[in-house]
Amino acid sequence: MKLPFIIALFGIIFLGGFLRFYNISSNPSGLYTDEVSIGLNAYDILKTGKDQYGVSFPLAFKSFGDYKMPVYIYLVSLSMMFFGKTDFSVRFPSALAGTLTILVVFFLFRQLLKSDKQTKKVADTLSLIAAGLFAILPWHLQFSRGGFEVCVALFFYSLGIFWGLRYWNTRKWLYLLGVMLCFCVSEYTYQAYRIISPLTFFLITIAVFFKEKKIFKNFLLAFIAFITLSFPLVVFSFTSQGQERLLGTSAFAQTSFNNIAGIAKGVAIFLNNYISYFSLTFLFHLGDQANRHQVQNFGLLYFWQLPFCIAGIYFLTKTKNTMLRFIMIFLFLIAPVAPAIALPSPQTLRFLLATVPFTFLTALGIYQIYIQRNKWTKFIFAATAAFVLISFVYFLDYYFVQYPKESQIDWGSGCKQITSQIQKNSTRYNYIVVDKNLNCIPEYFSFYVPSIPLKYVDSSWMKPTAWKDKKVLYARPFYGNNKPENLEENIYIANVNHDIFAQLYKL
Amino acid sequence: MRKLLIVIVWIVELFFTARWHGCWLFKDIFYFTWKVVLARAIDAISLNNGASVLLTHLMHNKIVYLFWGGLQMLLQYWDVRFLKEFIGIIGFFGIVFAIWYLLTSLRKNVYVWFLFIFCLIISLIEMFFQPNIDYIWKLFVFGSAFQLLSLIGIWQFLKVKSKKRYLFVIFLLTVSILSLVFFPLAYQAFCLKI
Repeated sequence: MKLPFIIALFGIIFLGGFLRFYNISSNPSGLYTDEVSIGLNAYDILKTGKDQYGVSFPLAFKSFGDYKMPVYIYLVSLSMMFFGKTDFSVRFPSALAGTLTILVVFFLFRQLLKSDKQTKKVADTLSLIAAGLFAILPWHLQFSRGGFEVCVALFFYSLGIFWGLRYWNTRKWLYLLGVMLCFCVSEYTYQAYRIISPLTFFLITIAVFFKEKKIFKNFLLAFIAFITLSFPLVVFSFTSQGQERLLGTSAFAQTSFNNIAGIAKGVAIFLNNYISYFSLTFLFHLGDQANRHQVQNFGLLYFWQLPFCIAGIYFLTKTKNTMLRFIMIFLFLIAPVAPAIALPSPQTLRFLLATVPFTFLTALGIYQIYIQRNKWTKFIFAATAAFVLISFVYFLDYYFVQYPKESQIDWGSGCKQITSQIQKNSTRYNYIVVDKNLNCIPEYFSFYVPSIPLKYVDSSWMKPTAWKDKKVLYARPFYGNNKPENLEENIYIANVNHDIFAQLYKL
Repeated sequence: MRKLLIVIVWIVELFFTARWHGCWLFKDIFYFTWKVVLARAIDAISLNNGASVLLTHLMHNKIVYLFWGGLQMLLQYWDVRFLKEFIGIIGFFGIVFAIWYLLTSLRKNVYVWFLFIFCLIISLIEMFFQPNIDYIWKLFVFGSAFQLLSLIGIWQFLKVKSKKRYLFVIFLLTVSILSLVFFPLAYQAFCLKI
């Protein structure tokens, strides 16, 4: 690779890293419930080697009615070792994995393009375009900046695919070992990869059997080793705790598979869900409408990518690069498999794997238009460059200026503000009382203000007469100002209406 | 065989569209009014407090939201989630094949282009102006235009004599029929029921 490419690659990684790390402690504006749970478990592991429930180095962490995969929590423990018990520590592994995925995307795409004469010459340029696009992709940025396990899982999964390709080309066993370990780590990181990773490894092993019998034995051995390493997870999956998540989100909860009609219904549900992941409004406009998963009305992908995706599909149908075609189609087909068996469908988080093929497709589309050079080509590229720039500026404005305000409720920012007020006032009061209707789970207070004893109460709570001489700080939603003289402070949400999230009373 | 399949596909698509008689209007996700433009612009400007006023007005104004929001909203009419309820999964794939055929074919297909543009125009008219025409007529116009486009797509797809393609169409037909049987009311996510 020539020096200018290396410099450009570093520039892209730097940009991607900057976008992922800049201000992550305060944008998203607070830790949401899963992040808090991850943070608490990670801190307990770091300090005592046990989780919140006293289990030593568990394989699955109990959390709000289901069990979390362990890798991300252990990574947060490591991060807390360096950065302390902070919001930054909880999000650091995800942001780091997100940044490193840009590099993996670059090398993976380059490897794919280099496997054919037609695309070999442009491999470096196109891979740079793909890496650049991935660095600024709204969908991936969104999840890299929160404490989402899926980003780490995606990093290991794509690294596994990349090493698989390296093994295919070089036959060095070390790469095969890498594939096995990466797929294994990815399935121990995020629920959806408990299905995607084994399925991928299995299907690739089958493909190798038909295409390259010489190395089939090695792949089979690696697959057996993978299954062996996955054994604890398989055993866990058959326990009631392991099935909790699956049963809680299953799309087939109302379906019985006892007869043909039930099976047919199950198939219809799966296919309907599966197809919904390729919905244009989902990809380019609304996403799954969960405010934590995307910036409202912006879409997961940039709008200008749409025509290039179509051109990319055209390129795929014509290219002689069979490996590129195989991997692209494979990734597109496998990405919705695990999400389609769960509800709600479509869901942005579980479908994050699709960011990789969509990025490649856009880059291929750009190449397709480039090779069909005509009098319009220059105009198309100039217009595209302008659109890319404008869209990116819009995204920056939406994400860094508007999103922290409009998504405060979704990210638990109100609860975070209450905890910081409690911290400030803790010495002035004997009791801190919190109304349950604020929906601030106790874990928030355990995470931010572990030393202060709290009391959780219903909305009907009155100060007991026994506490007559005690000073109480009472946090509750806005029920109306019936005791304005006792009002200490209003906690506001910085949204359009500037709503009151909570009121703090001194009683 | 091809003609027979096309007829079956058409009948299935008719069944899908016929269900929509149970409604009286499309839902508001299909409409883009001036009020929506204004609301989006005002929201964006309010949330941009603290940023440069000039930049805010340059980026968040009615023209931008009319253009960008309009484009986003137009996707709703071509979205798989809507079309699979309106003309079935088979119908959706028919439209995809038709657009693919238009984009990749070297021959000039004036009639197909005309039909495609007609579908686009009626979507735009409905989206922006919501003309005061009986819902039943709207259904007829939309149904006929989208069905015809999808049938052309499937016709072109089956032109290449390949067993795999026939099997694929039969598979999509089966899935469409299954959807019709198991989710007969799913279309109500997109229209207001009588």
